[in-house]
Amino acid sequence: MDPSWEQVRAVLEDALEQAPSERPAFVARACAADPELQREVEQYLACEERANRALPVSDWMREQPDEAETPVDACEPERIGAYRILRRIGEGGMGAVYLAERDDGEYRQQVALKILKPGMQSARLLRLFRRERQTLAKLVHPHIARLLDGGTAAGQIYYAMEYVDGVPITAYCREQCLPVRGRLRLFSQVCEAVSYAHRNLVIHRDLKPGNILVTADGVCKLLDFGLARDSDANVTGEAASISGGPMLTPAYASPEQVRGEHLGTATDVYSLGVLLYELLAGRNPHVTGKESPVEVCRAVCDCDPPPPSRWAGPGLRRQVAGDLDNIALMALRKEPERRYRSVDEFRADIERYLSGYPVRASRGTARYRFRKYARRHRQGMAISVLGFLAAFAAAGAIWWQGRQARIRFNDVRSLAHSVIFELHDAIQDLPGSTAARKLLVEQALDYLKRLERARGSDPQLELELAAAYDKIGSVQAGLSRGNLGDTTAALESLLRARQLLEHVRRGAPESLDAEKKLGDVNMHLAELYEQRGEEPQRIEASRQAADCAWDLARRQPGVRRLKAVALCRTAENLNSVSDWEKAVPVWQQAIAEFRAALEQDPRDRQVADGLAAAHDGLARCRSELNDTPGARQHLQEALHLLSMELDRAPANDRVAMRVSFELIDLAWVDHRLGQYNDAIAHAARALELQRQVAGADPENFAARVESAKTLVTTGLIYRDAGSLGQAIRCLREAAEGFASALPHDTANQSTLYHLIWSLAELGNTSIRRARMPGRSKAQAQADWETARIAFNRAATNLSRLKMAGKLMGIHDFERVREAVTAGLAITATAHAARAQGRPNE
Amino acid sequence: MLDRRMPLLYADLRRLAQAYMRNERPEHTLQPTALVHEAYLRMAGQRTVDWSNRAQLLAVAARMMRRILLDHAALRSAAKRAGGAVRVTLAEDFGSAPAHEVDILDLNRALDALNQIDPLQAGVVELRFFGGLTNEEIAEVLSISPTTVRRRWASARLWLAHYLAAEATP
Repeated sequence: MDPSWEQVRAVLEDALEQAPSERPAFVARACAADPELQREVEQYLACEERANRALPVSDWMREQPDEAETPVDACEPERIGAYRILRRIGEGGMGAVYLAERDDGEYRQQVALKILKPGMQSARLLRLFRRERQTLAKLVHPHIARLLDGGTAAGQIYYAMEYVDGVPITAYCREQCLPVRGRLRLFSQVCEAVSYAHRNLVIHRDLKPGNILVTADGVCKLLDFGLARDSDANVTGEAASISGGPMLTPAYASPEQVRGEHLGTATDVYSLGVLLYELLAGRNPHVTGKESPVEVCRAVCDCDPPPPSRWAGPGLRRQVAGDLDNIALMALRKEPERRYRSVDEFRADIERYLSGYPVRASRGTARYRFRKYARRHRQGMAISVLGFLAAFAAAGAIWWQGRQARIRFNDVRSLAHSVIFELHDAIQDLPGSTAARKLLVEQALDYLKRLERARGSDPQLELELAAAYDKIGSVQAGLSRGNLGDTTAALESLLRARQLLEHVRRGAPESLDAEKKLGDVNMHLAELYEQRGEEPQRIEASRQAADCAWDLARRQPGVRRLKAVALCRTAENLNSVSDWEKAVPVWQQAIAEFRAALEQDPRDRQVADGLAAAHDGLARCRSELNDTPGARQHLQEALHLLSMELDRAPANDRVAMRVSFELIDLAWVDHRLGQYNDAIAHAARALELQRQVAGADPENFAARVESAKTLVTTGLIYRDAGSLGQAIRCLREAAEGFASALPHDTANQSTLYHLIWSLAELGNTSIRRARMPGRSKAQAQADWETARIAFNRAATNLSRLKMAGKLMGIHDFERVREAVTAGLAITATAHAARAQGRPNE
Repeated sequence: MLDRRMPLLYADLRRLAQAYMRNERPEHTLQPTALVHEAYLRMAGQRTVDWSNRAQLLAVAARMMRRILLDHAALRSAAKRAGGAVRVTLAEDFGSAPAHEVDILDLNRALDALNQIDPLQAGVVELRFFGGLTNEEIAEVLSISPTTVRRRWASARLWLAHYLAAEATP
């Protein structure tokens, strides 16, 4: 019978411990009783030489220290070839750079000498270098640092380049405080050089500020043409210093470069786009320094950067917005074929801008972006959206014609107005319309800015502009439906709205419109500050909102509703700073006012709405003051009012959702009172309503997310009621719900937060069940595995969670992070213990 | 935690890639950076990775590297079979003598065969060859002693060489 591999291996491994010369004797001794085994072992030993070739023993060992740890100045050379080293001037991923002088008696010339690191000197690199040297030496251009010489000396590869005494282009622009036009002229020089190289069939592939120096005379010089290896492409200088962190940040790499695909001239167009972006915005389109490299890779491949004007300082913003934004973004398009077709074309657009001609990049951007949007949302583009499309196309056509024919100011203004208000409102409830609305808003905003510039101060126009800015700010912040999540831009819009309104109010203190609008804008600002976690600003804005409400109420004493609204705002402010005791009488007063108003006009839905909201607010106070029965009573009042409303209009999703929220609050109150059956019944009813809403509109992701949240609530109630099996089922279903909603709005941090939270609760509940007495070993193991998978999944998602601290008093990001970290540690320890055969704990 | 972990992982991956590329066959068109990016992106998409454990991470990295290299090798041989010239750009034309003589696809087949008779030993080879892990790291991943790792690697080399030889001469 043939010996098994295990038997052979035992002898073989012992034999390999011996010196090669002693192995035959050793094998003969070890296999004395088994000639078959001896033959097998010898057969394997005979393969040694082949194994050495195929799988070298030592090559794979990490005997070479990491390059970063190699002492850089271990041995500074004094001479290389015909060059005398003067001093070290830089250090890159591929090697050190020295200032050197050629002194072979022929002539004296200072050069930059790059000596490749020993680790980089493979034979293939050398061959490549020799082949390319010919091509590169032929690149003679005023803006390209010339390759002068290269070769090997003392076993080291080196090359000599024209020495450029300059600073990186970005630093130069910063130091000289160069205006936009000056920056563009400099950039144009860079394009000229790259274009020249492309005509000579050389791609740079590593364009970045560190490779583009500007001399004291303001002349650009490009370094390292055609010398970039991918291993080096992202290592040197600039990227590393921008990120301040890991090397190899692909901050200037094109998407195709990041993905390791074939590279063409389009990759240089992209990198030039990044450079232009930095010159205009003062920062990289994708890198702020906080991202991990994988996030940068993802951003480069998947995320559309905001226009550079977003980051430009106040002085520059106006100049950059519009054409220059479009130029930079065109160069930065993900698909190489959609960028400028050549660097020449890119440069031509810069020149057109400088001479005041319309630029190519601005042509059809709206259509381009819309097409992109439509591609992304092919399924979501329901028939209803087609209606929008038609309307948009019509508006767009008028718009463009309007621009060209210089339609009268007022016509244009009303068009802008109708685009913002009518079109926006018409599509805002359409599923998946967020991107389209963003596009609309951007265009409208651009237009408004022009209007603002065109006309001085006209109170009516200022009011309209303020209303438009308010609307846009709300859309940007995601205060209304659909989250664009750009709170910085939103803040800018809302502050502009407030500024305009305050100006109108100063000029016409009697204007009720301005006062009312100002109140709304302040409310929106307060919500926005809350999202941004800026507490003092939030308090100030809500105080101002309340002031406006009080002002309106005083000026129109006949309208009772106004006083009730003002009371609500004040009470809301007290709630938000947790001053529950002071808030209680204010809420009570608001309730009384609303009731009186309701008597005036029992059919006024706004009043009924307000009354329900006041009961809800008071319930919160009662709950916080540990008056659980009191809280329960007011929640039931609110529920009663809203249920009546729902009976009147059963198809009204918004009311249905509000009813479900009251039910969930009731469920929590009953949970606290220990009435688990009631709590579960309320939660179940809430879930039913939300599923009806979600079912009626499969695209209503908000309802889907809400029902997943309700499942978390239900699960936690089950958990505390002791039904761990039911709890685990609900939590698992909740996690799936969040996970399925996430791809539709990946930027939604709240959904992501809830996904992580539900997974953490799932993990914890599973651990709890595993530890229950009476659980069999196999059952407990299955629970531990569920927990481990849940925590690992939570941890994977955690990397995408950007928010920190608390949001809206509900999202406690730190707490969920800690929960996941702790859960990971516990399950990992348990897993390891089990793997080593030790019982849990 | 994860965010802070990432750059370290990235440095590890880069080191592995460079270790591999030093020994890679010359016509291989993947460069270390591209390799790392790809491994990185693929790993980020993994949901079941235990991110808290460096040895585990390196093990996953090794598996990723193996898959990526196999994908590319398969692609390359498909291109050759189709008779199409592989497009060569400045960066990818590395012409020099092979550093070692094993085809990645052959080795992969051999490794699969070894996995049939001794999964642990195949694991050692994968982690060492594709992952560039040290014996100590492999020991940690597989929960065996470093001495065992060294011995298993030594015998596995011979087993693989024997298998490749037998395959070459039917």
